[in-house]
Amino acid sequence: MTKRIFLTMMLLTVFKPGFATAQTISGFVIDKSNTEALIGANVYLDSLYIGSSTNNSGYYVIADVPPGRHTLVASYLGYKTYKTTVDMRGRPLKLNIILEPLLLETEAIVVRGDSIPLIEKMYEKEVSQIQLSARQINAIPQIAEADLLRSLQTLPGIQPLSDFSSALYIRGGTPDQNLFLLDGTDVYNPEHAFGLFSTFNTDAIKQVSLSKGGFGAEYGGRLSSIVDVTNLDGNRKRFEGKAGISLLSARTTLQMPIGANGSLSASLRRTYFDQTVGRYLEDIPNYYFYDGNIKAFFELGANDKLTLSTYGGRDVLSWVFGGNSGDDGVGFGYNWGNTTASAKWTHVFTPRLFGNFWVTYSRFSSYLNFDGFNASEDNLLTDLTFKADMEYHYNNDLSFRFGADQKNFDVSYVNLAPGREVRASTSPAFYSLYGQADWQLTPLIQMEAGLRANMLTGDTTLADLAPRLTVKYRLADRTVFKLAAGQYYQYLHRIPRFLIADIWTASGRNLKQSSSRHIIAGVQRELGWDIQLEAEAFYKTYRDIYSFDQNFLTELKASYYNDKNEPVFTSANGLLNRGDGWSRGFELLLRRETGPLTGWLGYAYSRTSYTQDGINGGRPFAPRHDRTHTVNVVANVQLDRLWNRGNKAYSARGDSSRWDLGINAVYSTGQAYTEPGSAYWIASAPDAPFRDVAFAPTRINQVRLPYYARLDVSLTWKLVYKNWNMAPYLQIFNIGNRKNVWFATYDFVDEVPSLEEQYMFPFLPTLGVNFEF
Amino acid sequence: MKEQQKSLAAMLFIMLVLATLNSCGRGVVEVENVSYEPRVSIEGFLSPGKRVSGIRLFRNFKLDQDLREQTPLLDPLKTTATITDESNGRVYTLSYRTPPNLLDIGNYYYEYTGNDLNIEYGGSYTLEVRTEIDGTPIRASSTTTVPLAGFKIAGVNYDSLQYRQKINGETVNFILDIDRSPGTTYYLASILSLTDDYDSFVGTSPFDKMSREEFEKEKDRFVFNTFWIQNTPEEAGRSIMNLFWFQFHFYGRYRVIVYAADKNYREFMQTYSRVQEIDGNFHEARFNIEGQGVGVFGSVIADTLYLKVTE
Repeated sequence: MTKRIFLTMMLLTVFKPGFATAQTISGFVIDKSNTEALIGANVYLDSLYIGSSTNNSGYYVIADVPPGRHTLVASYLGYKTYKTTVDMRGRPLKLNIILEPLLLETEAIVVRGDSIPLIEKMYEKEVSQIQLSARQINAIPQIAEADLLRSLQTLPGIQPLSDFSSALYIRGGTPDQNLFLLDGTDVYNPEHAFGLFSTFNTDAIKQVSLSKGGFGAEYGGRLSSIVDVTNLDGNRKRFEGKAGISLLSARTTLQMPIGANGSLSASLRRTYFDQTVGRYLEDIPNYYFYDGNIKAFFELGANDKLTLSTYGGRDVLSWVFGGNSGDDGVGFGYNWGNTTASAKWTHVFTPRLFGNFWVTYSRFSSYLNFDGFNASEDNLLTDLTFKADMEYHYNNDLSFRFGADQKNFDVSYVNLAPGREVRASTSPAFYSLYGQADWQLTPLIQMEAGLRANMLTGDTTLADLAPRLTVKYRLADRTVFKLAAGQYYQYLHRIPRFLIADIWTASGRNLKQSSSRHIIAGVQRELGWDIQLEAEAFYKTYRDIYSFDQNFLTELKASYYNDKNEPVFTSANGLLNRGDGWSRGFELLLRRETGPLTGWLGYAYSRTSYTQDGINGGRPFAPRHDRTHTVNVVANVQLDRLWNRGNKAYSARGDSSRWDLGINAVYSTGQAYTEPGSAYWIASAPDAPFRDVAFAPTRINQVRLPYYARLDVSLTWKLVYKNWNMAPYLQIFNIGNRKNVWFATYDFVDEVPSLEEQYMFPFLPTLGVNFEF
Repeated sequence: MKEQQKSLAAMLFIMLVLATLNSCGRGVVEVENVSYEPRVSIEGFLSPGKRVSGIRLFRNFKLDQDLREQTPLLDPLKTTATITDESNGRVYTLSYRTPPNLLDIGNYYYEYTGNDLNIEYGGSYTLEVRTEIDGTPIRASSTTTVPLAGFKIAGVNYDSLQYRQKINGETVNFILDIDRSPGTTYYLASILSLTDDYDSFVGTSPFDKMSREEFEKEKDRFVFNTFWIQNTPEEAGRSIMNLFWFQFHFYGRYRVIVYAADKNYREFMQTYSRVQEIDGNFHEARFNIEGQGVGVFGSVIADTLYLKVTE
């Protein structure tokens, strides 16, 4: 009986009779103040219970609209709800919707930012996906200034390795397993200042979408996560600017219209430590970084849009110590950075068929040279990609996404030093093809089924198929259950290095592609007070993942010899250890995005186990980034709004000033850590005149460091004068000055054992001011 | 204030208090000794044509062990050490040598006192140790294959150089020509300063500007250091070895011994002092010792020359 009902519902869903003259409503949803496309806005017909949400280009389609007059509603968090009556008379309707932002500073804001039930937004969202706006990122107190990757580290399931790193360890995966997309372009090594900060200027960001796993077939090439950053297109109505000064850097973002149908957004950031303090202190490295991006948007017609985007960033370090370079001193120079460029053409073929076409170019390079040592290193990766993503809306219950991309990699690494050379290069091409069906099986059940085919051609050809499946089920009025599973492959592998930039290499004859399987089950529930509850459990497996072989010197084999009989190495053979592993965990997120108190409370339980060839005697071990329990609290409190809620005098005064308090608290159990099993006396050569104490680790990461805890606080005073905003702020990183252990060093001084903890960042106050005009 | 705001404010306050209390203080790492196991530490090298001698066997110790309170020496009555010639299977028992100065721990070693054990080029020999540490029976063994004949220092570009001497604007190094042993791809130079007084210490080095007191504490690391070349061609032939200015810290004479090393010594040197990664964590070294042993049992061919660094 149950089976019969299910089949009947299936058939009704697939073959349900359409209205004889049913038509589509489609268009873009844009912000009235600057005409930016709004991603994820909800558009629906009030009485028919059919609707859609906008894609990454702000485009929506409502198909199968019957003739007649209908009320169309569009809503987006932080914007006034839009309502209009549409009269469908048998012809498709193209309707671009303009949403007006709410004035968040005034009492006019409602507790709920829109009229769409929150649970609908949660239902629309993909499994394990979190979206953050620039405003939310900027509200989280950080070191010196807002930072995208450090903000993401405050979410459950995302771990940093230390205070010194902005790298993301997502659900047990390593940073190389994260795909960073900036306006559709892959970004490699997105780090400034040896990993302390990320390369993304948060002022230029429109939206960040993070997928922690279970992502759909349109994404591939990485095992763990997708960080998709979309920068501002630019204000098409008026000139608009932001600027900021912190102890770290000065930065500005400017937006302006280009003619009637275009816009331009440009950002620039540069540190100035070298030009200020650095001029007066001796024996410190000369260091600075800069980055900037330009994005131009052109509306070429009702159905065509063109976006051109470019990014460039560079870190420059030079250090001479002990005198003058080349004379009595020694020194080195190091510079590294990313350059990206992309052109995106968006075309609406028919109201139901929508496409984005990209040409993207990404280049990471680093150059290192040592004075007085005749040593240098050139590290280069380029990626030229052609990509197409299409969407076809068959009806309101069934839509298809499909696409293809071709990536042309060029990876080269040259390291010259007395006694040997490394000259490694590879130029593989990577092809992928995907298709995915999003199918509303019944009003309660939605299924997304996809398949991605990958092929890499280099010194050999590797290919695979990666199926993906997501099921969403409405458990109750305010509760959604989601299940996702998928297979993921990765063909690029990172050789991580401390402080200096990682080297990338590609799969090939000697290096299999890595693979991972994800299974994720989650429940999302709308609680009172506009609070979202998300609980997810996951299990991930890894196969053929690679880690840097710390004993690589024993494995190196020369490819050939130069004319001085010195070895020349041309491949990454021997540098990486192959391994397998698994991660499992449970995450809980309570999040509130509206009102005077916003933020989230996150809890993550996670266990990860790796088995690596030649490590730990082949026994499983927890990787260094494994932390069992983590609690994050992120809060942004609009203090005067909170305290004056309901105060008529305050409301009448408007909002000429506002105090914001930002809180970021984290507690996590200690990281896995290797305590050397024992120490022993040894001489380094048969004729050595003395013996050293050496250490013999036997079991890897078998103990845990002490727990990690930190509280960061920021206080912002926002001053409004006409169209100008000025917001001076004070941020205090680690206000409790807790000494969190980074690692420990062991020694025997005069034969007495000593253990010294190395700590991470102490109490660190910083000042800054942001402007908007 | 509405109840909702009151509750939110109260919740926030409680969280702040908890977070503040939690985020003070300091983390303390305790030595847990969870993976301590008694091991025999082996330090022994064979050289072709030379007597088997200087094989030092010590015990390992816990990370929190005060070394003044525990000798690293094994109990000779509970320790046996043998060398097996793998070419004929003959086993030679080593005897224990006690130094005249009983406090000279480094000169307690095992040796073979007979005349019937010849270490041959290309020969394979196994050291086997049985002992008892902390009441636990310990066994460790390691096999070394002696490099083939052929290695020697063929020459050097200068016998004497000024510290960081430049010729035509380029810093000049000592460059050793070495004739390789077939099959041996690793050559290590041990550089020993024959002068170790502060007055001869290179004061202009960018690394070494230090007071006399600091110097006395750190002297060992300046007096002796090693440098190697690796991955040289497997076949016989000539390679060069640069000795850089930063390996010399005194004005004066140096004894340089270059070793052609077997796989055991090569892998030991490439890993034993690098077990702590740059971010602080540890990994295992390659000892090529079976059983409960750490250290190295290797074989080398050695050649010596003397150099001079002047002001």
